[in-house]
Amino acid sequence: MHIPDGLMDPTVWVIGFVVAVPILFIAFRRLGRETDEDRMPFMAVLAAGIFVAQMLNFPVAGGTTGHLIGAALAVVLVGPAAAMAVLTVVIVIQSLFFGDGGITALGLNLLNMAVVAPLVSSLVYGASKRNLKASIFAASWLSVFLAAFATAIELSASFLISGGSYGITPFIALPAMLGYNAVIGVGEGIITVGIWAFISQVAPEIAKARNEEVAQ
Amino acid sequence: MKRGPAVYLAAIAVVFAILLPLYYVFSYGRNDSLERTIEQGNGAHGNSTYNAPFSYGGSYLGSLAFGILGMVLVFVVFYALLLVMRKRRMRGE
Repeated sequence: MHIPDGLMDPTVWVIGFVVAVPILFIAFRRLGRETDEDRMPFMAVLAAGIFVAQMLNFPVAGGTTGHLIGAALAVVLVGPAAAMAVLTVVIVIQSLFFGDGGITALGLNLLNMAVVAPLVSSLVYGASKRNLKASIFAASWLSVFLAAFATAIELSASFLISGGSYGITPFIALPAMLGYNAVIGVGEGIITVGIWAFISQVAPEIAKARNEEVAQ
Repeated sequence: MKRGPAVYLAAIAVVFAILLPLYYVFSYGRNDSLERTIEQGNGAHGNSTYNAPFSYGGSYLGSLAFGILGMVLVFVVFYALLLVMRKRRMRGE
């Protein structure tokens, strides 16, 4: 879901930076105030793990592939502000060092995957605690679906603003992005619940500490 | 964390090395959701003015090496950021 250079209208990618950067600045400040020293290595390992997981595309319907975003996983394990910071570092390194996602599109990629996806995950995960696995699955699925929705809106806006020179017509962008990512979201949900269950088994203190934070 | 971060990073690298062949069998060369949407909508795909120093590689060993490089890079950058933020907080207290 990494947007390349040259696809979006300049007005749209500038708006991406204008919206994403202040929100991420707040997230980093909050993380700086709240981070417990003992959890720092785990957060950095989580960021490294999400980078690797995003490289492993899995097949979905019709010859299309998708990959884990990892926003819900990060929210469940380290909280929303840390999740935003984790995904910011992953996305910036992917773009600057590996050419995965454009430089001009960096603001939009950050907005979709480091702002929208963690915020949605946090809202859904925080709202329902009766069935933890179902709540994590729902948070994962919705984070992918709404990040894809944001991407489709950006593609459509680019198309309409530029008169068709950039972006994709909404009649194709919306159904295609939402259709593919409705399926990819299921993969995200299964992987996230699986990793969460594994970590709860091997390092129950991490899951317990996070559950106590959410309960407060 | 019960063990040092290097142990967990090594474990992630092992899992990555095991899963990477599946990626090459089932997903390599296939478009993701956005690429597929661009294809369907005949979207413009301009060239980037910026050339990244690395790529994800086009072979198992290349992808493994670049994946591990990226993993270490992300770990170091994020940990360094956390240390800087902690130092700033301690100075402020």
